[in-house]
Amino acid sequence: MTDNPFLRRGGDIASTPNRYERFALRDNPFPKSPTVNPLSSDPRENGEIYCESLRAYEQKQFERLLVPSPGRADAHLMAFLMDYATRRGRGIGKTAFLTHQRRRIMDDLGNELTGGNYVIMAAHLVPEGGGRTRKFWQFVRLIAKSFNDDNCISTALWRLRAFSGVIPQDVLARIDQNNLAETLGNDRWLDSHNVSPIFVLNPAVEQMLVKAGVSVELAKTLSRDGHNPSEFEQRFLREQSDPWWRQEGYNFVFNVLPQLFQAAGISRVLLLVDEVEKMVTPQNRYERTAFVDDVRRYFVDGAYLGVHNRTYGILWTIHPYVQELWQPYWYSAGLDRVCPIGGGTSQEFTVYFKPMKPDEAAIPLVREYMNHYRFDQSSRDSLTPFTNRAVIVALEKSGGLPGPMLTLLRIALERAVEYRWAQIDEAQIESIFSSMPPSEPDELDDTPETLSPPLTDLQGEG
Amino acid sequence: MQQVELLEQETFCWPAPQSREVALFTDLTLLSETLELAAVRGSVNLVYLQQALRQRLQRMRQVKTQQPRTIERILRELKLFGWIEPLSSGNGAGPSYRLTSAGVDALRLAQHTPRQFRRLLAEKMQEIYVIPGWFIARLWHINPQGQGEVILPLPPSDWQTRSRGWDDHGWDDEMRQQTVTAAQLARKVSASAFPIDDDDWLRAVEAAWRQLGVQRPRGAHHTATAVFSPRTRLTSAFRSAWLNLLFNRAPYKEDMIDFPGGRPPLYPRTFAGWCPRLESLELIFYTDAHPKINGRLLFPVSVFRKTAPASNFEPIMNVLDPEGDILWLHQPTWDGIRERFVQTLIAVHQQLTARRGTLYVSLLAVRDEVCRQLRISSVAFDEFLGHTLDFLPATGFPWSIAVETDVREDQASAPAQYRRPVYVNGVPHFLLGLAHLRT
Repeated sequence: MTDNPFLRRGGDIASTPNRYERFALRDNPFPKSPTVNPLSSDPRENGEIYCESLRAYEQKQFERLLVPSPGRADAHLMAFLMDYATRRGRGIGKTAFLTHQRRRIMDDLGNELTGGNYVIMAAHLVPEGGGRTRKFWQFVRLIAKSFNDDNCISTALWRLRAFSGVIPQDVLARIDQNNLAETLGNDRWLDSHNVSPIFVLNPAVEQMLVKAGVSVELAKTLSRDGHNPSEFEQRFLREQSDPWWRQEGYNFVFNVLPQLFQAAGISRVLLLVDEVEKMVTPQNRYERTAFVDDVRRYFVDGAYLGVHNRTYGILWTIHPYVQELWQPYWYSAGLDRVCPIGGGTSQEFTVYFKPMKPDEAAIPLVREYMNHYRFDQSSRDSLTPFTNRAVIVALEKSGGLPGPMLTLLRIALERAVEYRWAQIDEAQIESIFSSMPPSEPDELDDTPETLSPPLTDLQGEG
Repeated sequence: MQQVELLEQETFCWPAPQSREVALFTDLTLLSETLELAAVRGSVNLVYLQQALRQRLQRMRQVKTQQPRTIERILRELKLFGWIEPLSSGNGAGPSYRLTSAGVDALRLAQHTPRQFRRLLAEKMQEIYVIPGWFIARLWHINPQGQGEVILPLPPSDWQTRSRGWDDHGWDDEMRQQTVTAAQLARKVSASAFPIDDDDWLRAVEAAWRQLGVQRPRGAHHTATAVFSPRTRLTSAFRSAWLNLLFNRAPYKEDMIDFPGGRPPLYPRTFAGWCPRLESLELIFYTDAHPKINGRLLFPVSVFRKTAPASNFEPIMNVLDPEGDILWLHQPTWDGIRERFVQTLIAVHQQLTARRGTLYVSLLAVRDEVCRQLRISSVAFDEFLGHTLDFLPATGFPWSIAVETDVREDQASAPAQYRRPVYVNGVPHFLLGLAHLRT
């Protein structure tokens, strides 16, 4: 041990007394961060805590539009998720919704959703801001990266490994279906079960890919690294230069990957594109025209396997401003016949995301979060220390947006611990709300849309 | 629409205009520049003026040359004002004109005291057309408690629609819904600024819509192949409806007419010409880009009164209403309005900054709201902003101020080019930044 503060180790946080014990909670159940981060291990922040019933209608719409099923094999190519909270859009739960849809699809590859008739996958695409995804080739790179991060590429390769005929049945029977990465995706595990990935399995997968039309070089790369997302990222995706993505990226995403998915028996891959405004807003006129034209070419009518097989389905998450910006270009490209962005028929292609109704949504949502952090099962489904009215008022004050409401409740619970409140009621929520600075610039101007009276009285002056 | 018997009442009726054919050019500097050219050259004619009138920035659009029709109208108007008279023609270039002695006086005012020239123009326009005074009185009549503030709505901006075949002009639920929504939005912003009942409004818009539907398409289009934009047509129907209801010879829901003659005082085209003219004369203020309003916000910055304090008002003695009240322009002195102007400027800037999240915001948007709150003209705003630039930072106002000539992307769009820029030292400016200096 040393006294040098630069060499000390951190304290044992696990042994810190539980500040929330008085309320039968393991921790503050509400998220610290205002945004959903699917990569976080914290269930409050990664979208794991999710109350499905609150967006049941939107979920049905989403399924109707994009998920193939026996009675609806020809699901739409594209659809929109329209955030109708306009300027209050932050924290309405779009990302949590998309994350949840991706999870439920990837959990069983759409087995339950499609009644076992189709094998589908989904990736959640979050464009980079600052104009770094304003060109279509940058969007193509994002698709490839998201397929890798969200295990679409690796899942396809795990399936190819399983279908290769190289892995004996008794080994396949030992595969943990909840943890494919550590079994089918793990070379050491396979090796320990007398399946040689390097000399037997990968060449077999490579042959399957070549047979499906993939070039020998890419088939080798995919079979060697594609089953492991971090390896594939490091050894292939990151290695490709911008010129490569400009010239070859289209072929990779719209020909090679559909060949992979086809070989793996995957019927459809859904692209859940979040925050489309990050792509559209920085685009100039020419970039918008080119981008929308490319959307048509690569998803609708170009000579690509992805188009031919209708491999991809896209959900664009937009709000009215993006709709306004994109609409003329969308029409010019003829995409309104594929998926109208505005006008009467656009309703048939749009999932509308509206703020929640406080009296219906607040209690079930808060209960979901609190149940996750109850250590005492007898307190399950209780809102203690909140009163019912308090959580309803919290959602009212937050304009029906769950994100800001959860932040408000987090602060309220911290205050309750600090000031030893026995209960958190409506008055306390209102008091905390009034002392909070506006969390986003638009809030100030949102409520009173009326004109203030003039400061000068022309008839009265003098 | 229910027809009401209109009664002409001598006592409260405005005098009959000498001319109802108003020139539709809106840049009034064309008048003073023509006088100047006539003085320098001795006489002017159409051909000469077309070459000699300088290119200019009209609103935010560059106008390189004037159309012959515009020049004809300029000459006609100057003749009506008695500022030019025709010379005997002879060289085949059309009639030439020279300055009258009144024209020489007017030119002197334009060159040395532009403000007095504007007042003289207001008097002349009142004398010839009667519209300026009548229009201000009508605004006050429409919304007396809101000091004449009127909202003239346009179809909702979030209405998404597609073009229709020329013959598909039925008045359907979609149109009805957009019409009622537009009225409701206007009333939500200011209940008294759009005082038309839904039923009257719907009837008037429907009638205008149907009338537009029976017209033939422009150009060589056949009705079977021509298309129209429902938004554009509904916009025209709205314009026609609010003009008919609010700016007709008799005020809305009244049967006593106050404007003589058998024809309406204003038509959509003349209304479009009069608004910028009256704004240039500092009689009204209007904006089509107020963030809370979908349509035009219009209010007078002048009032008919018996008397008013000279520190805040300036009379135009020859513009009288039928009751003999004088038109007073709200023209506060800088010393009288300094604190209120700076405080309002800061408050409005802060509101817009909070809305946009940027320190620099549209100076035009700030101008619109400051003028609305203080009931001052855009010319007065330019002047007071110039003073503010000299004034800040000041004791009690630890704020730094900056204005920029840069044009942001959203300020360069086609509709934005019809907005009057803010002029500081004769240079158009578009962005404003204000920051509190921490001491």
